[in-house]
Amino acid sequence: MSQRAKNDMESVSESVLINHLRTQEESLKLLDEIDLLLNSLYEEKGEGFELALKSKVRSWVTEAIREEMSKGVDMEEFLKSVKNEIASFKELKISLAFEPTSLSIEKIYMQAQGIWGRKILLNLSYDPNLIAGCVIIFEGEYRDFSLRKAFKKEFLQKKEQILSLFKDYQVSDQV
Amino acid sequence: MDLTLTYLIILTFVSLILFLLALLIIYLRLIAKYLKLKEESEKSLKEERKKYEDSFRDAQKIVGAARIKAIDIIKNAEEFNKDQLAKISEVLDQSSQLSLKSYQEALKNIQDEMGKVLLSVPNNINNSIVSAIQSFSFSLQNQFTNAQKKMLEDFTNLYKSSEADIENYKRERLKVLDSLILKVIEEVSLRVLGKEISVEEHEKLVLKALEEAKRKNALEDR
Repeated sequence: MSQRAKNDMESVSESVLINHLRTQEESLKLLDEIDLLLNSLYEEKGEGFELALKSKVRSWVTEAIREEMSKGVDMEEFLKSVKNEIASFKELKISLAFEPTSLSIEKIYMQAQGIWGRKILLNLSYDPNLIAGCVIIFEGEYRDFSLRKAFKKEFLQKKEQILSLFKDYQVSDQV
Repeated sequence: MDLTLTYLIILTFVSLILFLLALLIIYLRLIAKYLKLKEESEKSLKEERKKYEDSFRDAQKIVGAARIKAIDIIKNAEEFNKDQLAKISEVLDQSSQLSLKSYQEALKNIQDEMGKVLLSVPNNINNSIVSAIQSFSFSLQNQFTNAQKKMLEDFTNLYKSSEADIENYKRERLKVLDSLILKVIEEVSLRVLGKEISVEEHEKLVLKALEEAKRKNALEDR
């Protein structure tokens, strides 16, 4: 790999475009925008790209691209590298028992990144039946850390005790 | 003379023919009557058979209904308790004692009457008759007591068997009820838990779950 290519790769992985990503949903949206930009590169005698930056992508994407342009990178190469970089990310599926805020997503992402490294994208879903906790699926491996599972396990072990307590309560209530 | 004889012969012959004709008519009528009677008899037999079959069917229905009723009664025997059994036993006892008493009284009357009659017969015959009557009376009394015991025993067995059936049924129903109660407690507890947990607590639990995954080396990066 040439020094320039290495520098480009480093530039891509350090890019705001990549660092901004937290979820699979965001990455798909960014990939759509990159495709639009790539298609606009040779339109309108070179003016198409500028037009697309102004009108077809989100402002933070525009800013990130302009920052890269200021470094003098080959835009087509850069955008393709970003696409490749995103494709290399691993998907971490997490089912949550609540609908997360942006802050919640940030916290979860940071924690996951600390465990599985930088190249992670969250695929979050909402399942109120979990009660609390979460279910994690990573590279086809499934782990249930939900409160529902823990509760059911505990409930199964102590069902006789619970039933007896319930009956005692009923009797005392009747007395 | 010859002519008279000839006339006589002809008259006798004609009379004989008339007699035979009369006999034939009577015979034919008899045959017709016999056939009619036979037909009526067959018809009546058929009707009787039909009636018998209907009665048999009705009897079967009655027996079936009685059986169902008996099963119901056995099922409802849950209401039976030991006190009631004791009461029934007591009533049976009283009833048998009463019957025995009235029977003994009747027997005594007969003996008295018989005694009067027997005074007129020789002593040895009198003694044998009295002894036979006493023996019969004793045997009857024994049979009566045995029948009473058997009846009580059968009744107790029936009660015990019904009681066991009811106990089994109760046990099964309680099992089903227990599992339903557990299901309801579980559902309600989960629902209440879900409502009581705040977003911050949810976050903490998710972060803890991720830590747990790391600690257990589960889902490690490959």
